[in-house]
Amino acid sequence: MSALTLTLKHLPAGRLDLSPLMPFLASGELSGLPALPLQLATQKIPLGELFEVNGSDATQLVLQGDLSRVDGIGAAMQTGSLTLAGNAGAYLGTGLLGGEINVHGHAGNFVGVAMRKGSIHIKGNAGDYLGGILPGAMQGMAGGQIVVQGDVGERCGDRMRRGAILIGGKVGDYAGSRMLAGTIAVFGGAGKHAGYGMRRGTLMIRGEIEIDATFADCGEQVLPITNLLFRSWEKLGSPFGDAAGQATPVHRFMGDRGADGKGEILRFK
Amino acid sequence: MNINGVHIEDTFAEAFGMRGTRLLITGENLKWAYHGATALTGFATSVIACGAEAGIERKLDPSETPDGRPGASVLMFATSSKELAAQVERRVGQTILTCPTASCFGGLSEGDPIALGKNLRYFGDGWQASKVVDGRRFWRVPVMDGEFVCEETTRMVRAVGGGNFLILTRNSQDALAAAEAAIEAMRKVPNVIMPFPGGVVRSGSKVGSRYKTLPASTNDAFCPTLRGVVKSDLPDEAGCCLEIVIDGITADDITIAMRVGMQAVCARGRDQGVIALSAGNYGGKLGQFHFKLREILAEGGVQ
Repeated sequence: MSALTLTLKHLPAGRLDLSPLMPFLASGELSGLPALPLQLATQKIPLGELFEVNGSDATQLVLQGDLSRVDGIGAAMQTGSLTLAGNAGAYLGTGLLGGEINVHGHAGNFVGVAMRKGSIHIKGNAGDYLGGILPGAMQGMAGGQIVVQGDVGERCGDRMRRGAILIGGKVGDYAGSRMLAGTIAVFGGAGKHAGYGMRRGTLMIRGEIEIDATFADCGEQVLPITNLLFRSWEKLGSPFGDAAGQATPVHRFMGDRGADGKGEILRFK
Repeated sequence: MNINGVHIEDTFAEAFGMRGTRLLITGENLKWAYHGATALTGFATSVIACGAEAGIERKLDPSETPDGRPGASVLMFATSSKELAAQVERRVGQTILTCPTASCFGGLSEGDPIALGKNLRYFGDGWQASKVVDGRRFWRVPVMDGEFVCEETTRMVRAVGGGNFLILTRNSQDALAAAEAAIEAMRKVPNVIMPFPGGVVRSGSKVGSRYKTLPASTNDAFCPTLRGVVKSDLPDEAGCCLEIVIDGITADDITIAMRVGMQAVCARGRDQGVIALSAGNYGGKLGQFHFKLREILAEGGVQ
C-alpha cells in the first residue's frame, strides 16, 4: 500500500479547517474521503474539490502544497505518521493523541495546543502559543514532544502541564507563561518575561535572557537531571544533543515567586 | 565423575524461588558510585537475618548508564515481593540518598514496578520535583551537594536464590585459592551475584538444631574438626570445605555461573589440593530448583 497523499490544488482564498480529517481517517472508511465536508471560510466544501487524493495507506499520510492557510492539520491524530512537505497553518496537531507529525516548512500559531501524546517536529519556525491551551481549558499541552528547529513566537508552552518542547532557535516573550509542569528547552535565547506566572516545570535556556524580579537566584549548579535530558535529546542532533555526555553547569532561578514558585529557569551555555 | 583428579559428587544444589531486581547506581566517578553500591549491598549475605541478598553484578561504563556517568549494577533478592520492596526502599534511602553525587535507577525492562524513589522523594519536604524523560519518571530531591536523582520505580521479577557448590580441599589455603579462582570467573557471568563475603561462605548450614529456637545450624557433616565424632561427608584427604552461593535472575543464569565456577576449581586440580566438589541440599523437598553437579559439568564439556 502506498502512502495516502493529499495534494492541495491551489491556495484557498480563506482559512480552511482540516481538523475533521484525522477523526474521519480513524474510522477506516476511505471511500467517502473526497466527499468529506470541510469548512472553508464561511462555506462547506467537499475535500475532493480542494485536494487531489492518491494512495490508500492512511497510517502514512502525506500532505503536499502550500498549506499555510490550512488550519487544524493532524488535529486529534491517534497513530501513524503525517508528513507536510511545505508550511502548515494554525492549530497544527491540536489535541494530538499519538503518532508523529513532521513539517518541512514553517507552522502557524497554536501548534500542539492541548496535545497529550505523540510528537511534532517542525524544521522551520512556529508561531505564538505553541504547546499552549485551548480556550476554556485548565491545562495546555499535557504530554508528548514538540521539536522546532527554527524560532518560536510568544507565550510558548502557556499553561503547559507535561511533556517537552525543544526549540533550536529563539523564543519570543512570555515563554513558559503560567506553566504547570513539563520541560521547555530553548537553544537560541528568549524574549522578555520568560516563565511569567509559572508554578512548576523547567525552562532551560541557552543564550541571552532577562530574568524577571519574581525569580530567585539559586546560583550556578551542576544538576544530574540535565544529563538525563540532554542524553534523551541526543538523537535529535544539533543543537539539542550538543551537551550530551558532559556535565553542563546551569544557572538556576526559581519562580515565579508571584505564583506557586516551584518552577525553574536553567540558563546554560 | 572425576575431572583433573577432582571427584564430582553425584548430588545437587537445591535452590528457591525469590523476587529480584536490578538497580543501577551512578556517581560523579566510579569511586563514589562504588561507595554507594558497596553500602547498598552491605550486610546482605543471607535472607535469614539480612532481609535481602545483594551484590554488585558488574561495573558500568558511562555509555551504559541512563545519565552517562560511571556506575555499578546491583542485584537484590528477597523471599517475597513485599520484603523486596521494603528492602529496596530502606537500603536506597540509607545508602544512595546519603552517598555524595550518587543517583539510582531501575535496571530491568520488564517485571512489576515497585517503589524506588516514589516514597523517598518526601525527604525533599515539598521541594522535590519530578521529570519524565522518555516515559520514565525521575525524582529530584534537593540535598546538600545538589540533587539526589532517583527513578520512581524499579522492576521486580521472579528469580532464583540459593544455587551453590562446595569446594573440598586438603587445607584452608588451597580452599581459599580455589574459591577465589571460582569467584573471579563467576563475576564475569551476567545476571548473578555471590552474596557472601568475597563471594564465599564457610558456615554452610543444615536444617534444624538441637535448640528449639534455632531452625538452622552448622553443617556438621562437612566440619573437619568433627570428622571422627559425627557422620562425616568429608573424604579422608579433605581438611577444609568452602561454599559458594549464587543468586540469579533465572535458573539458567545460575547453571552457567555454577559451571564456570566449578570448571575454574577443577582446572586447579588435585595437584593444587582440590579433592572434591559437592553441593548443599535439603533432600530435594524444600526447593523448587535442583542443580545437578554432574549434569551441569557434563553439558559444559568434560576436560
